[in-house]
Amino acid sequence: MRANLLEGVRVVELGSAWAGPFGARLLADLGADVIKVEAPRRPDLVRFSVYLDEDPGEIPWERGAHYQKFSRNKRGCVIDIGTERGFDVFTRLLDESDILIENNTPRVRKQFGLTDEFFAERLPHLVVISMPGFGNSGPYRDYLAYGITIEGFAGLSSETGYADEGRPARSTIPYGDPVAASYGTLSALAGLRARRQGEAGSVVELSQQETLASLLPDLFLRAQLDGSDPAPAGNDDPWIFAPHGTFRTRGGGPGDYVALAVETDAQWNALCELVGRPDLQPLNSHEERDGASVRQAIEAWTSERERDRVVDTLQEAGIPVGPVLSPKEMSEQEQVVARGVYEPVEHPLYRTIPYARAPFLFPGQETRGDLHAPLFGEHNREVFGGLLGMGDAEINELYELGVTADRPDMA
Amino acid sequence: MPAKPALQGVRVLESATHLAGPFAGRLLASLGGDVVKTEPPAGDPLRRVADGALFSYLNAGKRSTVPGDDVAHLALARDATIWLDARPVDVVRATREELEAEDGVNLVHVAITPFGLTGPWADREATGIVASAVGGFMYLCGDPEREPLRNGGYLPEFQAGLFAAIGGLAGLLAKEAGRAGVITVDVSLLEAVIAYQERADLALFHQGRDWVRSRRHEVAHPFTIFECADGFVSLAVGSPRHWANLCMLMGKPEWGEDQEILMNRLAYADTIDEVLVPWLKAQPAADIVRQCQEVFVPCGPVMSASDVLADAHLRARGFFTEMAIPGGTAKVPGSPVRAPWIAEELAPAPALNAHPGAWQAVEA
Repeated sequence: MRANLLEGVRVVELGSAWAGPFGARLLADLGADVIKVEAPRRPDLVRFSVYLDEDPGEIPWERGAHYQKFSRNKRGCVIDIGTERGFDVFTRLLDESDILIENNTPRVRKQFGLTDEFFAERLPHLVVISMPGFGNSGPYRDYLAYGITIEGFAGLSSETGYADEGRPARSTIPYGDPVAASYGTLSALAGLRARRQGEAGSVVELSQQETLASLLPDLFLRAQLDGSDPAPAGNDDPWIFAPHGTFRTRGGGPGDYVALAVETDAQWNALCELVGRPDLQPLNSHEERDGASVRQAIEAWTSERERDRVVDTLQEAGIPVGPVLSPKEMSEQEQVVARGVYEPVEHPLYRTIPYARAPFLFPGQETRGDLHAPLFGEHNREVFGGLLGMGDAEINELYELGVTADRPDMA
Repeated sequence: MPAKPALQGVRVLESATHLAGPFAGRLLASLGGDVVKTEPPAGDPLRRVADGALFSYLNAGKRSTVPGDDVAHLALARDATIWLDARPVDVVRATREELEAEDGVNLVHVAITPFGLTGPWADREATGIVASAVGGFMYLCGDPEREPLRNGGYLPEFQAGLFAAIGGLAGLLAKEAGRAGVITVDVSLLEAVIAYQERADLALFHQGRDWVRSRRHEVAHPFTIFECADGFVSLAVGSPRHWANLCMLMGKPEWGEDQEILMNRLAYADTIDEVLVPWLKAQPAADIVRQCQEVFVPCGPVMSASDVLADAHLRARGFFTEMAIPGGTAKVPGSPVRAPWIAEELAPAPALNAHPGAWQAVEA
C-alpha cells in the first residue's frame, strides 16, 4: 500500500542490502518518488540470495527475495557513478531531488567523491542520509557491519538467551539494519522540515551501532543501577511485568506456547483465579510473582489446554497474552488478515507474492496499490529522458559508454 | 550559527505511559518539538519503576500536565500539531470520531495501539512480548527443543515508537503542504514487529518454507554466535570472499576454494565447526575481531552493557551522555541522529503535573 503523504518529495537511494533500501522504501510507502540507483557492476547484493523457488533461473538478479521486499514502490535506474560522465548524470539527478539515502562505508563514499564538502558546495539543498555501520569517525569506522555483528557491539546479544545456559542466543533478525533504516526515514523527514523553515540541506550521519544502542536504554541503566551486567534471563522482565514469559500449552510443538505479561494487581488476581490458584493472590512483589512456583502453577493450567483457548480465556480477563505463531501462522492470523498486513504485489516476470506493508494505516487518506521492485534499469529512459531532459541520442550514448545498462555486468 | 531545530514551533501532545508513546515523544523532543505529556492523576506507572530511571530517560525535554477530564484533554489536542495518543483503544476511537465531526481542526492524530484501531483483535491487550509472539519473532529465537525466546530489552515497544514518530512527521509534512483536516495515523505494536520480519516471511512466500528456530542461521554458515577464550563472538560470513578469508585465518585455505563446501556451507556446518570452534576457543574476542576485520570478515565481540558503556569507539564519538537520576547520575544513549538541526540538550524529565498550563505556561 502506498500512502500519499509525501507527494512531491523525490528521493535518490544509493543503497545495498537492507538498511539503505528499507529506509528509502518506507519513504516510498509514504508516497515519495524514490529512485534507486545501481551501477552496472554493482547491482544490489540482495538481488542474488533467497531466490524465488530456490532457483536462480536465467535472470537471477530479478529473483532475490530481499530485493523484492526492500525495493518495492521505487523506480530504478542504472548509473556508473565511478565514471566522470556517470557522476555528472548522478549529480543532475540529485539536483532534481530532495533526499539522498545511502549505506556505503566511509571508504566507498569517499572513493566516489561523495564528501560532505561536495554536498555543501554543489548540492546545498540536499538532505543526505548516510548510515555507515560505525559512523564516520572513531577506531571502528572502517569495520564491516554485517547482520548479527552489530547486535554484539550494541549489547543486545549479551542479554538474549536462556538463563540456565549462560550463553547468548542468536536473535530472530539482524536488528542493526532495520533500526538504522527506521532512523534514516525519520531523519529524512526531519531534514525536510528543517529545510522548509529556511535551513539549507544537511548531511545526517547514523551509526548502526548507535541507533541500535539507543533502543536499549534499559540495558545500560540496569548495568549502572544494579552494579552488574544484565545476563541472558530467558523471558523474564526485570522491571515492569511479572510474571512475564512463555508457557507451554497442549501439544509438544515448537509453537505450543503462549506469551503473557502481567503488570497490574487486577490482572494478577484474575490470572490466579483463572488458573485455579487464588491462594497465590497475596503475593505482591515482582520477585514473588516471577518465581519458579508461580511459573509452575500457571503452566500446570496452560499445558492442559489448547493454545488459542488459553489466549481467548486470558484476554477476556484483560491479561495481555498471545500465541507463539510461526511465520506462516502469523501471516494467516485473523487480525493480520483483517488489517491487510500482507499485500500481494504483481511482478512482470513471475507470480504475485505478498509482502508486509509498512506498519501504519491512514484512514480517510487516498492510497494506491504497491508496485514491484524495479527490474534492473527498468526506468532508465523514463528518468534520463523524462526527468533529466536527455534526448534519445544522449541516452544511447550512455548505454554505449557503459555508463548505464539494462542488465548487470557480471564479468 | 547553529541551525534551528527541525521541529521548531511544532507542538506535540503525548497522551501515553510506559514505553512506545513516550519514546516517540522523546524522538520528537530531540528534533526540537515542544512536547507536553499528559498523565493520569497517579502519574505514568513508569515513574515507579527502578526509581524512575527509565522514565527520566524517556521523558526528558517534556512538560507534564494532568488534564481534569476528557474535555480538558481534547482542548489540549486542539492546540497541538501532532498528537501521540496511546490511550485505551476505545477512548482513541471515540476521540477520533469527535475530532472528525468538527470543522477547522488541524491535527496529525497518531494512534498507538496494541493491534490497531480496527479488526477482531483491536480491543485486546498486548505488550512487547505478546506482539513478538504473535508477530512470528519468538517462534524463531532459541532452541527448537526448548521454549521460544524474546529478543532482549523492550525492542517491540521502541520499534512502535519509532514508527509512530515517522508517521507523525509524515503527517506533519502533508499538513504543512496544505492537506486539510485531521490526518489519522493508525500504528500498531504488532505491525511494528512484523515490519522488521526479514528472511522468514520471504522463505515462506518465495520458497514455501515455514522455518523453525535454530541455533544456526537458516541460510548461511558460520553466521551466528560462538564461544571464544574470554566470552563470545559473532560471525556473519556471507560472501565467497568472507568465507575464503576466514578459511585462510583458521588454517584451512583449501576450503576457501572448494566449490562444493562454498556452495553448501550449511550442510557442511559440522565439518566446518570441527576446525572453527577450537580456533575460536583458543583466542580472546579482541584478537579474533581484529584479525577478521583486517581481512574484511564481518565479526564482532558480544559486548556486555558495561563493555558498551566503556567502548573506546563510542567514547571517541561521545555517544553516551550523563543524565540525572534519583540519587545521582547515569550514562544514557545520546541522540544517534547526528545532524545540525538536532535540539540542544534536553531538560530533565518533568515532575508530575509540573506544567498545568501546558504550552501556555511559557507564553505567559
